[in-house]
Amino acid sequence: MEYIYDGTFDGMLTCFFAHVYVEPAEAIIAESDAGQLGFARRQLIVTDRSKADRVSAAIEKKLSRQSLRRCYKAFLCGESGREMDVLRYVFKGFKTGPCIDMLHGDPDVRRIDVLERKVNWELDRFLGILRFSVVCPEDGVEILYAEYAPNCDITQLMMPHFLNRYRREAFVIHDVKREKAAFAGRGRWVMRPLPKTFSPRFSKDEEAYRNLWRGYFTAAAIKERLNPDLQKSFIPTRYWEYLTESPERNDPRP
Amino acid sequence: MFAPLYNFVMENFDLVMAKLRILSDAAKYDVSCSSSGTERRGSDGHIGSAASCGICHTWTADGRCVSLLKVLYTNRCVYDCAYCVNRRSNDVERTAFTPKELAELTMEFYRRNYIEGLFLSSAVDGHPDRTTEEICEALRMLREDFGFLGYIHAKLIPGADPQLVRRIGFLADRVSVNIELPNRESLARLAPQKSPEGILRPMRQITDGLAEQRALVGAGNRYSKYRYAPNTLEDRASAYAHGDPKGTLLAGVGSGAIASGGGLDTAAVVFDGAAEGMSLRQIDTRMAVRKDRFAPAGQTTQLIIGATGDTDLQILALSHAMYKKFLMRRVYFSAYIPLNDSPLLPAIGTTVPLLREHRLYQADWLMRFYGFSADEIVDEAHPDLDVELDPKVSWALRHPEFFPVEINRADAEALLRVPGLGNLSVMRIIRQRRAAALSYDDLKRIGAVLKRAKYFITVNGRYYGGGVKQDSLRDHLLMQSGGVQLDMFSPDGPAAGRLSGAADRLSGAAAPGTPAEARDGIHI
Ligand code: SF4
Repeated sequence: MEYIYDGTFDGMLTCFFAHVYVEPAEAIIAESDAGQLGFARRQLIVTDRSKADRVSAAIEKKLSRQSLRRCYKAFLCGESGREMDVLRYVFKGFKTGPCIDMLHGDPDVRRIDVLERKVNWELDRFLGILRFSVVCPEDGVEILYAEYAPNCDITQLMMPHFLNRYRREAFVIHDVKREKAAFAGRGRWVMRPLPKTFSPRFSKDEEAYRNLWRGYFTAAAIKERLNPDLQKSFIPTRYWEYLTESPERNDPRP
Repeated sequence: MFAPLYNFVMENFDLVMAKLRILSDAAKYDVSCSSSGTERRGSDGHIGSAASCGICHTWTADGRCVSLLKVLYTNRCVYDCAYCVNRRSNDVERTAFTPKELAELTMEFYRRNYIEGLFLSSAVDGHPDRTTEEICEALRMLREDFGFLGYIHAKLIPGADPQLVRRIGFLADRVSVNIELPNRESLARLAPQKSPEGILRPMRQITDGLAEQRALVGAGNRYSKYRYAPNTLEDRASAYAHGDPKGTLLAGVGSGAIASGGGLDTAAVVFDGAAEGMSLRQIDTRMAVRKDRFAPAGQTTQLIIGATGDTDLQILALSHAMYKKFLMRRVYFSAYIPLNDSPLLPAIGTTVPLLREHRLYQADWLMRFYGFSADEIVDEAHPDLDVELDPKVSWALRHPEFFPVEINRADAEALLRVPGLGNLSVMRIIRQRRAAALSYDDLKRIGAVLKRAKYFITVNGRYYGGGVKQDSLRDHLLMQSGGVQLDMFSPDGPAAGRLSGAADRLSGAAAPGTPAEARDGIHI
């Protein structure tokens, strides 16, 4: 059976439930990725919170809390086919118990390792290269605003870090690719849709600070050792678009 | 929500831009730019947090990681150290920040997530106390007026007043004084205005300050027993009692509250009742109030390599003593790049001993994380490191009696001595063999460097090193790596790679802080 779900983590877990109680899954596909083709039989699974909770409780109990976290991270990587990867890992874990994560040699475990690492890598990278701008929705009010387009769906994973970093400030992290944004202030945050066309009003000093930063960035490089390829290996060009100091970017906005 | 209280930078934009260019240019060759070593949760009314692992915020066009805003406070210098670009007799453009400019600039960079914090060193403009006082004021503003909780590494100027050193210790996360030269004679020759006492006294003072709050974590590996306990809330409370003379550093400890002092209160009020609506996790400020802690990320120092004729034995013995006596977090080595014409120093154009520096870092790494002592790595008979092979392999070759080590039985200390096994792979081996004995192939998956390790291990009693004879092993290992074997632990992940700075540098992947053509801003 091919299960179609709504693309949420709970939805995927509901499919796992069906895998046990209805019919084994051959594929689990998010609605948005499910084309018309396909010879297999398909069934649309409606996300059911209580079923999802049962599955996640079982993962936590029979594998470990850590394993559940890994499932979540692997899910966030956004690669197609990851649902079945997580499924194989989980059901193997039901057999082996908590020692699943020590089986570094097992291909299903390694796959989750790889996906998790991909998410962690991007997360780590963006904690550093996410750039905030000061925006003024109205005079006298300052909000920090960052836009980016990550491969993995990592916005929620970044929130603890930035909530901790910006205790005193309101801030917005805008995932332009997924057209959603986390709005945070006073230690709380919510995720809301935000179109990619959104364009805030920058503070009057914003461009000046960007220039200071670009100036520092340029001065800090050692001219005799230029190595753009190496630089690119750390910050792949796909991340340049939203990087203040990006060699290519010359932000026309104020 | 939070409107800036100041506008010093924008009022003098062009001037600040020029200062930033000159003073960052003068500081960029410093080595110790990692921002790790302290973990601090943000606290209400402050901005910032310091993550325990350094965060890279960007990579410059030469591929180096930028984590901190690294600048000199001033490059005006009354001293004339032979090895420094900023020495009085050199003709370079001179300038200095003001405390306001520097504090605001740092804060605004930090808000935009450009940097993790500030790395501040300086030349000596007038008397050491005068410059130190200004630095102190800049840091005070940053912490108190701006409520900055990011990372600060401050280089102390030798000879500064103990009271000032103490104040800086309470404002900065990490402090350091550079030894620069491994012995008195070279110091007297090359930096005649600096006295060993001027360097060692603040160092001792910092160590004592740290010992007072039992916040020292000396060198050691994850298995070693002689680590100091991390400090507790009580310790910090007692450290308070010895707070700075003005008492401005005292924060509302225990109440989990906003640290008071300076303009910070105003800011906190603007953000009306920050605690309201906070989750429990956020109100928990055990790690948050920073001002009660004296240099929570400890102390480091730096040594110049190759400016004088000292052997590696002398250098390692000194750095060993630094770890032991002063409980340094790190001792950095910096290959000397000749840039001043001086009869006392190697001529301009002399090859920079980068490889030697790299070997020293590896040796240092072995002492700190692998349980080696200095005299195991070099001794009177071999006073210099083998530049061709890493010191771990050299040690292994000199101690054939220690090998082979059985993977499924040896303890962690022994496994750590095997070339090609790093801390991470050892941890994995130990963890996995609890579930089942490891096979040779498992080792590959775990990340061990088998092309080196195989000559020093057995797996379930079997030796995989083939017919290579003990006496030809050295040549064999050398050949494998194309003449010079550079890195000890590559597959163990970026941490190892990043810390052995010169390896990256030599392979083009420059590590934090490449000393390149110049060695300026020497109080780094
Ligand atoms: S090393 Fe320091 S004191 Fe000596 S000349 Fe350079 S900046 Fe001045």
